[in-house]
Amino acid sequence: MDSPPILSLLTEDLLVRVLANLSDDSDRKSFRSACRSFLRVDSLHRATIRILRPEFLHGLLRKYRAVEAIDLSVCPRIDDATVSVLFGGDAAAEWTRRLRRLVLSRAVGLGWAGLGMLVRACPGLEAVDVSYCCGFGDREAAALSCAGGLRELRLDKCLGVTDVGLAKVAVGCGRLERISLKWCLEITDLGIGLLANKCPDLKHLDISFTKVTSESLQAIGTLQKLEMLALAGCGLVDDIGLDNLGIGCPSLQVLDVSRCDKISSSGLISVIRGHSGLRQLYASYCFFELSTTLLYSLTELKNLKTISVDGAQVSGSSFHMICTNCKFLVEIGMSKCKGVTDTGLIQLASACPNLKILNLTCCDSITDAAISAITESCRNLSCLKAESCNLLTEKSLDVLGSRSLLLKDLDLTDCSGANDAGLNYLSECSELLCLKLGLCANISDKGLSYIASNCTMICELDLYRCTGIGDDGLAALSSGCKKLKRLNLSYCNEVTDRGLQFLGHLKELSDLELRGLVNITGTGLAALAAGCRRLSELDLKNCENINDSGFWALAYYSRNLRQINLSCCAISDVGLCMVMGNLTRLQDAKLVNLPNVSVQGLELALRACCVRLKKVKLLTYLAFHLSPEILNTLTARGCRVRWD
Amino acid sequence: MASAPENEKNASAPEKKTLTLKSMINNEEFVVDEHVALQSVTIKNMVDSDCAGDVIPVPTISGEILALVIEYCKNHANPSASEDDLKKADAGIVAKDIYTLIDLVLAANFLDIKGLLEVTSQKIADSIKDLPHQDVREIFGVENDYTPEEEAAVRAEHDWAFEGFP
Repeated sequence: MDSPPILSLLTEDLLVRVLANLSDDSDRKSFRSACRSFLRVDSLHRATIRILRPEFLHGLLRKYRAVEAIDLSVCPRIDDATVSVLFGGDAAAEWTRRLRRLVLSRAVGLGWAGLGMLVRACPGLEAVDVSYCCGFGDREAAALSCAGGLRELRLDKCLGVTDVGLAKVAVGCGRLERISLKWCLEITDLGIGLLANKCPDLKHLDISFTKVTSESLQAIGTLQKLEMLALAGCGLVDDIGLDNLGIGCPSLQVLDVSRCDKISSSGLISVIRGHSGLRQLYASYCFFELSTTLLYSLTELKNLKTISVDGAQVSGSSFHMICTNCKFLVEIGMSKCKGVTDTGLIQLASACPNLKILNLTCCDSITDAAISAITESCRNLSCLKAESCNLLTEKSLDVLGSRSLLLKDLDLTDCSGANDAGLNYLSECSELLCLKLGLCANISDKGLSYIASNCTMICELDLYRCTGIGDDGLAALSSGCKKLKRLNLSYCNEVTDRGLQFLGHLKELSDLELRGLVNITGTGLAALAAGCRRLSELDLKNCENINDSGFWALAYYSRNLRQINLSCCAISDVGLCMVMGNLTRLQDAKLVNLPNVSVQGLELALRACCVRLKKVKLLTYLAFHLSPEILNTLTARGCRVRWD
Repeated sequence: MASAPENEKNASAPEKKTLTLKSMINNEEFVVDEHVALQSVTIKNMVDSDCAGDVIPVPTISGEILALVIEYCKNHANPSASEDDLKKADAGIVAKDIYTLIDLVLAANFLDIKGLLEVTSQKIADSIKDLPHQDVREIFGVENDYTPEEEAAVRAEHDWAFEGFP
């Protein structure tokens, strides 16, 4: 082998350093594809891997010898048998011992036996995520509790987990530092009490949307190291609980009490009094209005960086108090707050020059004057949400484009003031990553082409119901925004097959919504599928004029497709069977109102993919027409059938 | 003896120690304040272990590159420089073509200057961002040593098998 001069100089550890600075997946791919030595460097360096198909797992892990974290959440359904093949046996032992982190979110096909096998195979596990495995219960929790070294555990929406399961985890995993129990509806104060007792090292605790009461907070108060506590939507927690919290948890820095209906200002004040170190406070949709005493108590929070009071009524004096008491704010959430005015925001902007993230969704009385003041004072603005702020005009976009050059995230959904001239100004924000323009009826292809020519970093664009957008806009988009990953074009009725052909040039495109596009046909879909190989979520609901030629192309090319919505499409029995059978990563399908599909056709299509599906949506009447076998097979293997 | 500390306090005293660094490639010499040069762990170790003579020879680093390294060290030895100023100065130093950058990263590595190593590798990474693999090959001057089958497999693996996650 020739030894090229650069490679003989740049040692492997230097190349690893360079590679460590390449975060983008496609950049790493280019690096690996350059030559064998670069591939070797990538293999040595990669610590995390998200597997798209389980069959590749073994081969990949033999090559990537430094991998410590595996994410299986986007694989098609895996079950206990798959796990025993993947993680069992001597061949696997070498790499399973290295594993520290395992993401099994939405791995609905797994059961307690499989989990137990996993835990035994990976003795070094420190973090496990089984969130959204809705069928998981106490036996699964018991299996996880054998991982004695666990520091992080996510059980969000494991609907079957009760206090018994939580007790097992608390006793088995005494070194836990983070646990999330969001939507674990069976958990009560008993379980939380035991958890707080057995796991004194807890730093992060999320019990949002559970049925715990104030009693839990007494137990939680004893946690000396707790830094983050989320109680969003805990409707049974009241001020007594917050009082208890006020005298406990000395390390608390982040508190979320959003949507806790039973708490009042005085409860929150007692927490604030006891915790001058709070950095982030989320109290959205709790209070009808912000009381003066609550705002006054913020004086004590010298480190407060984030506050969110979405949905509350704010007055001129509220602004005044926030301005005098919270000078170091970086983020403020005032979505759907009544009483947000230009005067208030002008004051806020000049008092808090560090503001980076500002949520003003539905603050519909603000005008260009407010945006002008914000852009003038807050030079580091990176995220602005101004959905439905209908008094804003293109002047707001002008000041954003001329002053907020660090802007990454902008939401102008339903802002009639967003027009082509405005987008021309805005295109100066060349760092934009996410732009939402849904329901902006005044923008056209011309405006989009300004954005496309300058904002080349954009990876998410929402053009929902932008009826002025057509094929020419997509032409500009496809040549300018090469990094686009997510695109919503639903109900942009001017879009035709020509537009989809342009989209086919977007190699990174992974999520695409095309609802209700009646002017696209099989030809357009075929071009799209052939070009966008990364496509993983596709919504074609109500695209009535796509014929089977398009779906055949989809079934042939779109091997990465994970989610599809074919509701109200003209797909035939054969087309559906091809799509469902051929696309081996498909795991979530919405199949409502398919006029050209017979019951037999649907039955066959479901049989073709029943081992992989995690979720399927069907018309209710089919419950009586599909065979019991197929329905049983689906549900027995953890697939959730939603009847529409 | 008692007067020695007083002498040290006197900042304008001409006692400031300097070191001479000599590029062994083109024999260029640089006279540098000791505290500037000591940001290099390699030089610090030599000085600490009394291996450093009057002139410290620096093999494999050209004068041109050594000058850049010294500029970096000078900037970072200045206690009054703000973080923003340093960032700007660093950006100026690494605004070079890829060959210079590679020489610079090697120099930073040899002299063991962590900050310079970091900014230089970041800059090299930036220079191959958003480029197809053919361009990466060209920039690094590496040859494609894959067989067509191997290359197809490497690319397919990316498309169908895995991706990274934070």
